[in-house]
Amino acid sequence: MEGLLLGLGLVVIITYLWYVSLIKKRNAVREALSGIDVQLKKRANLVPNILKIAQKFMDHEKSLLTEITALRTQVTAGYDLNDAAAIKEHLGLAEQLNSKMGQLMVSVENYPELKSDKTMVQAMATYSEVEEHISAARRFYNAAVSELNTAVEIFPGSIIASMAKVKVMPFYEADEASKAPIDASDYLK
Amino acid sequence: MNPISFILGAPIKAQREPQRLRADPEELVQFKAYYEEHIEPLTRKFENHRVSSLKALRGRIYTSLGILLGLALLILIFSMSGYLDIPWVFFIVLCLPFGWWSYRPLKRYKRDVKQEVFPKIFRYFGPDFIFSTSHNMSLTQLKRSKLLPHYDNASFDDYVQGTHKGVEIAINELCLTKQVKREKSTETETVFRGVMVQLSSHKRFKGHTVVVKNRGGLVNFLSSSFKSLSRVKLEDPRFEKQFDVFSSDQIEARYLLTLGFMERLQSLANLFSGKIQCAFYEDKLLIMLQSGDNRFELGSIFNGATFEYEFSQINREMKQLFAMIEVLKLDQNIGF
Repeated sequence: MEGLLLGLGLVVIITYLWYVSLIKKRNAVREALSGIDVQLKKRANLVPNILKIAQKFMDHEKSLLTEITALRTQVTAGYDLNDAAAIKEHLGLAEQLNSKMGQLMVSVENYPELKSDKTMVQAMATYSEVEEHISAARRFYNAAVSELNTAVEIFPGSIIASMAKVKVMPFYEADEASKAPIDASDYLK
Repeated sequence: MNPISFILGAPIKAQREPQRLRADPEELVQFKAYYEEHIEPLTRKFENHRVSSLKALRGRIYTSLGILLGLALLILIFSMSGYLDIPWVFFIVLCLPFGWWSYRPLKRYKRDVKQEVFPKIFRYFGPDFIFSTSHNMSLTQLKRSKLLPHYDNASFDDYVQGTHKGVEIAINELCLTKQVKREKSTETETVFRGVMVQLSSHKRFKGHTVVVKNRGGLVNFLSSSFKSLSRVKLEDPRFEKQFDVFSSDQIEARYLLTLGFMERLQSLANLFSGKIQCAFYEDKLLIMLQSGDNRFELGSIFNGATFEYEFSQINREMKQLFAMIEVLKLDQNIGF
């Protein structure tokens, strides 16, 4: 009887410690996610300034500028931190905005006046710095998600996780455009 | 010439034959021009100084040996006749002042080179570069880096200061020691010997990030913190194998420790043939290079005083530092 109680006590302690570790990992993911949001907010604050400068010169890119404005609004809108699908959508939108901003930066090359505009040069340098911070935040987030998901998916963590309602979280993935293979011939025309 | 042939009386002659200046091919013309204008004019004077120092050194060694041999002979005769009973340890103690006296001309020569030639070498990197054997970095500031091991005594040596692309650079040799109690005695143990490199940054560092030597898997398993900073696990397994990173800001740590930076850090460590640790704090980057070598010293005294070796070597080391400033973009003042 004593042995059984001791065994039961041990199981309870181990389960509790496992639960604590899972919650710690989930909180680490949330912390990393908030880190991404801080950087995304910085970028969102920067975008209107870049658009304002760009609008003066870019007559033929109206649709791109409109798309960027719409995406910026969506990215800055709130989302449910407990909903993996909502997080995935939020991160997806952030990547779409990144992709469109990339297109804008390429288009700037076609406007020599804009390219040499001092405020634009400064804004682009700051933007590239924010991008580097976002990339660092993404690496931190993905490392935290990887740890959490491993803990949640492997038995007996999976049972404890389902009891504690801790779910796997989505990775912050690069958008399809940046993942696509580069065709050198496009650049060597 | 080598130390043995020198003692045995090989002729001491002035060497005017230049060695070779070494620098990157694109820099070589400018490098040579600076050497010819600022350093070469000093070489004749210092070559004469070197020759006279070597002659004085040899003369003093011979005199010292003569006196010591005479003393040894007297002690031997008296002790054999039973008039004197002096322990031989006393004789060894007697050698010390003779050694000090013999070495003085060489010491004076080295001091003069450091006072006259080295500042000119460092001015090649910028007009505001200074070289000093008496300046020191602030120990309080170094302590705040959280990198310094526990120590009881600190001693500084050569100091270099200047700016590159607006980034302030300070380099200082440092030796840290602590007292260790053994069973019967207390011994002085060196806990750090090497070079401290401090670079200012136009960027603001919000957090405190340190890169330390790998502490081993077991230590990391038992403790994921280091002096109240939390562990940052990086994706590069090669880097992870060599270093452990701790930071108060996980994102900033990942932003700073890019692949380019890590490679530069490694090549700097290889160049200084030492173990490397660094800290980003208070808008500064502090690099700690542990190395047994004494930096910013003269090459062999038996080589001619052309200073080409010293100039080339210092140039290589400084260029690595400048490259690191560029990799980290410490010179750029960007928005936030």
